[in-house]
Amino acid sequence: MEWEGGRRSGNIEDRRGLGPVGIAGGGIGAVVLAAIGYFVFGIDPRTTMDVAQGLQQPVQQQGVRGEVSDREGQFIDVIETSNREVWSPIFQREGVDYRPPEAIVLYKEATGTGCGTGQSAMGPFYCPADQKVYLDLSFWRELEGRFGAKGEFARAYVVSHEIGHHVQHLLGADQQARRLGARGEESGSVRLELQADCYAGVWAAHAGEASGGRIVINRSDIQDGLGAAAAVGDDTLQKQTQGQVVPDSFTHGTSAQRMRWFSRGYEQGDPSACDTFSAASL
Amino acid sequence: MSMTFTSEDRVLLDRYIESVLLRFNDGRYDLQEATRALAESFIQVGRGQPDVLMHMRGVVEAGDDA
Repeated sequence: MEWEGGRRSGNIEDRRGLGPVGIAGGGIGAVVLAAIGYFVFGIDPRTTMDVAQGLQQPVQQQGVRGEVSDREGQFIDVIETSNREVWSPIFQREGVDYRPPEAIVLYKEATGTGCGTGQSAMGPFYCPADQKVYLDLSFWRELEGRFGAKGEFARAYVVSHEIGHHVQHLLGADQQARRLGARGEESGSVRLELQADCYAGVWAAHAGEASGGRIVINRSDIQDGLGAAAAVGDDTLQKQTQGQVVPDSFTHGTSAQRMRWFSRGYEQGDPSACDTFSAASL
Repeated sequence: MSMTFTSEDRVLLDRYIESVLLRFNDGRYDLQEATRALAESFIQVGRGQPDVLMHMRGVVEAGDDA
């Protein structure tokens, strides 16, 4: 993947130098975070619940806004800006302005969010309450090590998946999902996650053209993206962690489903092909 | 990514993805084979290589016969 020449908008809030907020006690934050469990990426839902149980009232933090100087941060900036380049004209065709996420927040270990305290163990996530994507860059090591998903495009897929949740929030899909339940093969949560995968595919389909050739995605990148989607499928994760597959507890979809919807977004390049809520078969 | 498909081509693309993922699900393709097959086809489609649709049709029909 070639991205170094990609445009950057500086929509980064860098909290990496602030140090983690404390984690203690319970409280209403647990309920709030349980509600946003939909948006947690590829992590065993029990982990999320365990984390939620230990929440305290969120601590508000404000990091440094603007461009970052390190390569990893610049990569995130380029991918966010690229998503903006892709989604703006798509929204415009529908007569709607695309509002990008409030920020991509880079943090270490733990940070205050509009949805409670965010922790690294939760993986990257989108908080609809403050419309920010939260990302601890140590997740990339987990993505490559634990999940076996290598390559920069796998990371771009993760970021674009989370921005896909922002697109869903703008379109009201997250409300629709909540009415359809949080767990199970055909739950609202699974439909929401698969749609975010599809939106990541839509981004990938247009990223090169929308960037004016500044971003180049090749065959092995697409393969890496599909591999990342497969690696975080519920069935694969459950086999790894508990040795058996329990479809009733699915929250994100199987590996095959995640590949399918990413593929669908990529090959169609059209978000209308991502209607997982009407799909008879996921 | 080429956007000049007919609706028939789009149906074929969807069926091709299904065929590859069915092979992945039943163990005939491992993850690497499945992702490589899909990625190669998508890139060829993006380049407008006409042979790729024939290849996809072959994969789909082979799956139908299985």
